[in-house]
Amino acid sequence: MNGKAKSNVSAGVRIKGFLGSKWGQRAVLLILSAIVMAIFEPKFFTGGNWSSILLAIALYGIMACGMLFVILIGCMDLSVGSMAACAGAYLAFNWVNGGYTPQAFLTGLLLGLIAGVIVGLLHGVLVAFLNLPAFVVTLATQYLIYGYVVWYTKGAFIYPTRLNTGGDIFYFIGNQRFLGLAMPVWIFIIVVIITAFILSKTTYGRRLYAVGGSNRAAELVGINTKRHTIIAFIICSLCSSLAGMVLVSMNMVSGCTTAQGYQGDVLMAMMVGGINLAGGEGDISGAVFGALFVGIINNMIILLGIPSDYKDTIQGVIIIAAVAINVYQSRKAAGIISPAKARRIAEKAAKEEAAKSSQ
Amino acid sequence: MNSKRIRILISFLLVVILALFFGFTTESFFSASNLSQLLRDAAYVGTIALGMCCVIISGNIDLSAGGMACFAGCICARLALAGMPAIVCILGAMAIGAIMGFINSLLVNRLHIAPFVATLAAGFVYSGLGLIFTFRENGRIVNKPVMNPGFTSIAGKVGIIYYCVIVWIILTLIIYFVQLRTRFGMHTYALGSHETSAKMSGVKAIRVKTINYVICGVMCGIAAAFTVAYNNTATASLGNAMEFQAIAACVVGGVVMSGGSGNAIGALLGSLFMAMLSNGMLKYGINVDWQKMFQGALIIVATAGDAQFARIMNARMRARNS
Repeated sequence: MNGKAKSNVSAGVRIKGFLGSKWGQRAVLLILSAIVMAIFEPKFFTGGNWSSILLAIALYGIMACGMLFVILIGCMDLSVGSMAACAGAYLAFNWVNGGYTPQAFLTGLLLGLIAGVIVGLLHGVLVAFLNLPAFVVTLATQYLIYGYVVWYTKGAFIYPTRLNTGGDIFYFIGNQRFLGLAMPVWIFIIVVIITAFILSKTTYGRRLYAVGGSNRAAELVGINTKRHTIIAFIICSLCSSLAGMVLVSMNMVSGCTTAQGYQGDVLMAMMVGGINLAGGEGDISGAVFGALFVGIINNMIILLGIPSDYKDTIQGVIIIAAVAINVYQSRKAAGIISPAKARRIAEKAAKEEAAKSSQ
Repeated sequence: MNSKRIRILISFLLVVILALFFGFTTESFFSASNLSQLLRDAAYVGTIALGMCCVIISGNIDLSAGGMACFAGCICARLALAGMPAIVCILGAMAIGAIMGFINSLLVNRLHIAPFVATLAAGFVYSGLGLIFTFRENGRIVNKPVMNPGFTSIAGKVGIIYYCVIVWIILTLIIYFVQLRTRFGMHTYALGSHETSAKMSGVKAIRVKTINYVICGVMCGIAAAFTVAYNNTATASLGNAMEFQAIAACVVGGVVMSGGSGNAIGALLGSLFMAMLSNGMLKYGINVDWQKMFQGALIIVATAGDAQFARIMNARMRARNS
C-alpha cells in the first residue's frame, strides 16, 4: 500500500519535475509555438518551410556555438554580426575578383578565418590582460569592423554570379544538398559535434567552466585563465567568420549589411537556451535549442504577416523575459531572496513569536 | 593635485590639442558658422552623455540610450504635428524618456538582470517602438516635416549659440552640482565604487540606481526633442548608435566604466572631443564609416588608457604613503 501511494505521488511529482526542468520548459515552448502555428498558419509545417527554417537555425547555431565559449567564461561578444560581414566580404570579394578559381576561393576562406583569429585575439588580449569589460570592447570593435567592411567593399554590394560548370565551390557551401540536408546544416552539425566534444571531453572545455564559475578560484588552482579567455574569444570570432561565409554563399550577395543585427538573434538564442550570463553554466544543448527557437520565432514573424518593424520589439521582449526567468531560477536555486521578502518573512516570524508568547 | 583633477585636466588638454590641430590644419574650423554647428552636434551627444555618465558612475550601463532617443523623438514629433505648444512637446519627450528609464531600472533592480543585457534588449524594444511610431504613408516610412512654428523655434539660436547648447551647459552644471554637493550624488559615487559596502553603510541602492536611470531617460528625451526640432522631422535612425557615441564621450571624459569616478564636466569635455573629431574628420574628407572605425578604436584606447592611468595613480599613492 505504501509503495502504491508512493508511485501515485511520484507520477504527479515527476510531471511537475519535468515541467520544472530545462528540457520540460523547452518542450513546452516548442509545443506552444507549434499550437500557435497550427491555428494560424498550417503552412508552417510544410517541408519547404522547414528547410528554410533549418538554414536559419544553422546560421544562428554556428554563431551560438562560438558565443557559448565566450559566455561560459562570463564575457560577451557583441561583434559577431560585423565579424560575419567581414569574413563574408573577404570570401565573396576574393572569389569574384580572383576569377572564380579554387585558389581564389581558398584565399578568401583563409583571409576570413585569419581575420577571425586576429579579431578574437584582439578581444581576448584586451579583456584578459587589460581587464576591460568585454561588452565595451566588442561594442567598439563592432563599429570598427563594420567601418572596415564598408571601406573594403567600398560601400558596394558584391554579387557573385553562379557558375553553371561543376567547380562552383562558393555556391556549394551555401546551397548544395547532401543526403536531403543543405550544406549549411551539415556544417552546423559538424560545429556542434566539435563544440560538444571540446566542452565535455577536453581539459580546455572542463577548465572553461571553472574559469567562468570563478575566475579568481580558477587562477588559484593553477589554471591559466588569460589563455583560456583568449582562446574562447578566438573560437567565437572563428565561428562568426564561418557563419558569415556560409551566409554570403547562401544569399549570393555580400556587403556591409550582411548579418547586420545578428548579435541580437544570437543573444536571444543564448538566453532562451538558459546559458547563464554570469558564466560557468550552460551546455551545447542550450545553444542548439536556442538557435532552434530563434529560427522558429523569426519564421513565425514572417509567416504570421507581422510587419518586420515589430521584430526588434518582439526580440527585445523575449530576451528580457528569458533572462528574467533564468535569473529567477538561479536565484531560487541559490536560495537568494530579496531584502523586501526577507523583511516580510522576518515580520511574519516576529508576529508568530508574539502570538506564541502572548498565549 | 589629486588624480581626479589630473584626469579632468588630461581631457581638457585633449580637447584643446584637437581643436588647435584641426584649427591649424583645416580652413574654416574656427569660423563662427562651423563653431556653432560643432557646438550643436556636441550638445546632442553631450546631453545623452550627461545621462549616461550618471548611470555609469552608479556602476551600471545604459545601452538603450539610442533607442530611448529614437522613441522619445518620434513621440515628440507626433505631439508637434498635433499642434501642441513647444513646452508640451519637450515635456512629453522628457516624460516618455523618464518612463523608459524607469522601466530600465525595474529590469535591473527588480528582475536582477545584468544591466548591459537588460538595457541592450530594452534598446531593441524602444527602437522597435520608435520604428512603429514613425510617419508612414501607405505603409512606407516618409520624412514628414513637422509643421509647427512654435515647436521648431526651439531649434533657433542666440548669436551663434543654439538654444540646445545653452540647455546642455545649464544641465551639465546642475548635474555637476548634484554630483558633488548633494547626498544623492555622494551615494551614487559610493554605490559605483563598491556596491556591497555602500549598501551596508545604508545607501538605498535601488532608489539611487532608479533615479540615475530616470535621469538618463530624461536626458535622452531632451536631446531627442531638440534634434527633432532642428531636423524638422523624426526618423527611425534618430538615435542610431547614440549610446555608442555617448559611452565614447564619457570614457574620453574620464568616466570609468566600472563606476564610481568621473563627473559631468568630464562628460561635457568628452562630448566636445567627439563632436570635434567628427567635424574635423569631415573637413578632411574622411567619410562616416571611417569615423565609426575611429570612434571604435577610440573607445578601446580610452578605456585601456584609463586602466593604465588608474594603475599609475595607485602606484603613485602607494609610493607616497610608504
